[in-house]
Amino acid sequence: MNESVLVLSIASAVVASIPILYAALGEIITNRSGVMNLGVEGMMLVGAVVGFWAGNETGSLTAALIAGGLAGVGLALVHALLAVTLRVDQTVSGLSLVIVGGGFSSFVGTSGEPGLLSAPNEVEVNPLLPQFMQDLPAVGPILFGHDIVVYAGIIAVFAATWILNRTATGLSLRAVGEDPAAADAAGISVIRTRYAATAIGGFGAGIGGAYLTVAIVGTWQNGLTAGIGWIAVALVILAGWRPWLALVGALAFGGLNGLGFTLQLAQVDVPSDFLKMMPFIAAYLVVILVSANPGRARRLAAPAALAQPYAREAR
Amino acid sequence: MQRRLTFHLRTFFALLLGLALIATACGSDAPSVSVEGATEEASETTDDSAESADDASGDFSDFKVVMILDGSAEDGGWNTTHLRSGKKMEANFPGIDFSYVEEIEPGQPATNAFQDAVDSGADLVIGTTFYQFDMIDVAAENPDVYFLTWAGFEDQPNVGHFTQATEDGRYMDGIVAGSLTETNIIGYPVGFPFDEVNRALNAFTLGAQEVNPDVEVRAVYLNTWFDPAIEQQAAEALANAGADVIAHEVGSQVYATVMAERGGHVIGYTNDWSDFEPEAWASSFLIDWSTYYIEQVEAIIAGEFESGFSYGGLAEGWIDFAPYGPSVTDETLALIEERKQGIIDGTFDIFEGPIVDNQGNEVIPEGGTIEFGDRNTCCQWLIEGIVGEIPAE
Repeated sequence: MNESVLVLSIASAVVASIPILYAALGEIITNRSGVMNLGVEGMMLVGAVVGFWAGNETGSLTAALIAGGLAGVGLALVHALLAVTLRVDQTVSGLSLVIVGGGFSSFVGTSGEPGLLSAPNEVEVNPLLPQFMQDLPAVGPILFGHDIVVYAGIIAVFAATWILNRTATGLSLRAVGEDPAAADAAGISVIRTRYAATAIGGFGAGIGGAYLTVAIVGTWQNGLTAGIGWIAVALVILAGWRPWLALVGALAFGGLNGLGFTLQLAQVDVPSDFLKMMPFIAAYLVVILVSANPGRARRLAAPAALAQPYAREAR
Repeated sequence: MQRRLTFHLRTFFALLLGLALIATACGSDAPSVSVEGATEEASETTDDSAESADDASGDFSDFKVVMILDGSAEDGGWNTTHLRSGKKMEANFPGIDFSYVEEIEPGQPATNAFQDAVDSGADLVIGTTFYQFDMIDVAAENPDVYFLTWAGFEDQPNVGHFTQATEDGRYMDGIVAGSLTETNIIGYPVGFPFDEVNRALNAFTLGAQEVNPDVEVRAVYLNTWFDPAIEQQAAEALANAGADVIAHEVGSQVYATVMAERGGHVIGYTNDWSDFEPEAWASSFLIDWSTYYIEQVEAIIAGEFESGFSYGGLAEGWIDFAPYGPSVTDETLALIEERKQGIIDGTFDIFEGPIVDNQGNEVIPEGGTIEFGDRNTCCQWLIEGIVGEIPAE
């Protein structure tokens, strides 16, 4: 493998990591409020199809991302209604969301004349930085050759870290996720916080899906995300619910995505199915590590009230 | 008491919402049936219609054909081609009742689809992929209904099998790719390591080598026929490895998108996408099964249906070509014309020996070839010049 193949592969990996990153960031916010939403895959699919549709109608990347994000919010609010207000088992509700999102996105994709399945991509995505920076050897393609969504994603990581750890809003959010009863007693609305956090999770997943269709793949197909949403869910656990670790993980998993073919081309026989399994194996390992080492585990452990419905009168 | 009541209401509401959501999901996953320009007719009347269709008056309204597609009719490739061939057949028989069902996966869903087609009163059911094992029992139980199914081998008096000689078209695409590449690296993502697929890849490489002996064809096996996200990764990996022409196998438009971004060229698979990224577009062979479909419908109506295997290529009118892209030179076009004529006349043989595979074994000796009728069982080897290995099954 010569250097340019390596450089180009890393550049491809950076782009491939972006949908995972947005979805994982959203899921971290959701989880930190104590809501477990396993429906990321479904929300991404809905975001992907609606984003692609909006992109087709308007030709605008911004419109596609916002429409995709809002579609994700719509589905996330269904989960919030079930999980927060009705206090349904969050695992069941999240899994249902995957099925609903998959079915709904296929339905949207085939309805309308002509259908979205054969529609061309009308959104043009251009690199953000000036040409001379992109032309720099190695760092050009890897760091400077990307579009605005890539850089916004990295800014979002820092923003999320800052908001979670340094602001009153973040403190309230974490309080609701760790001990909703105490937060409630302190005058924080558990319900409102959890709704908002779930909606943000849906927005992240929706944007991730929309970016996948309009900027990466450039076409819509049923089940397009093909497990990226699940990778995001695994990544959140792997990253110990910390945004910056999610960035590192997303880059690694983005790289794994295309690595199967790069290795096949380099005549290295690693089955791509094996590579697809890696994110989940890694998540297992982290879960085992965390439970085996309770001292260190505290820092990487799940929010204490994760997936536990909160009912004020049930205390 | 008050609390328990609320709890029950809440459970009930959640359950109701959950059920509604599941119903939505299931509803949209169900295969859709499209009836093309045909009125609803009672299925009882069509039972013996095969022989009684009145072709003298040119009215075929009591002959019903159902096509079963394994993917979306809008995939722009395999299934679109079958449907296009079916519609040409429909146009040939005024009033014929032609309909199709899409996204029927091989296995139990396919068996059900074949049974449904028979129950709806079909006289002829066309299966467009390897449905052999799914439909053979349905065919045995319904001797009055005729079946055509792509590939396959098991004989039954009312079943016909067919495969197209993809190599006749792929050789020409190879000539185009070999003459266009500047890096001498051509990317060739393939679906599954089936004979048909490997045969097309071999013919493609032979075509490319005819005009460019130094060419290297890099094959990656995707393990899917159509998955834009995976195909996008494969296209990126191939382009990163230096491929400036990608010839894809079934597949989506992502190859054209990636090649257009990088200033390369794309070769399609039985689709005319010359309008999509026109600068990147180079060529694509097309399959046209309508000749076969029309022959079979005529034979069934005349009571002369013969079961068995049909194989057709350029000479039989099963292979055609999409418009060539602006970068294909006249010189290349002239060579393609010559080779096409050679195949039709029988003066040119794609698989003329000696041919050596990429493991160094001589697979076709000097003076040998693969006879046209035997080609459908070839190949589980890749010729020299292809970088890639057939994955173990």
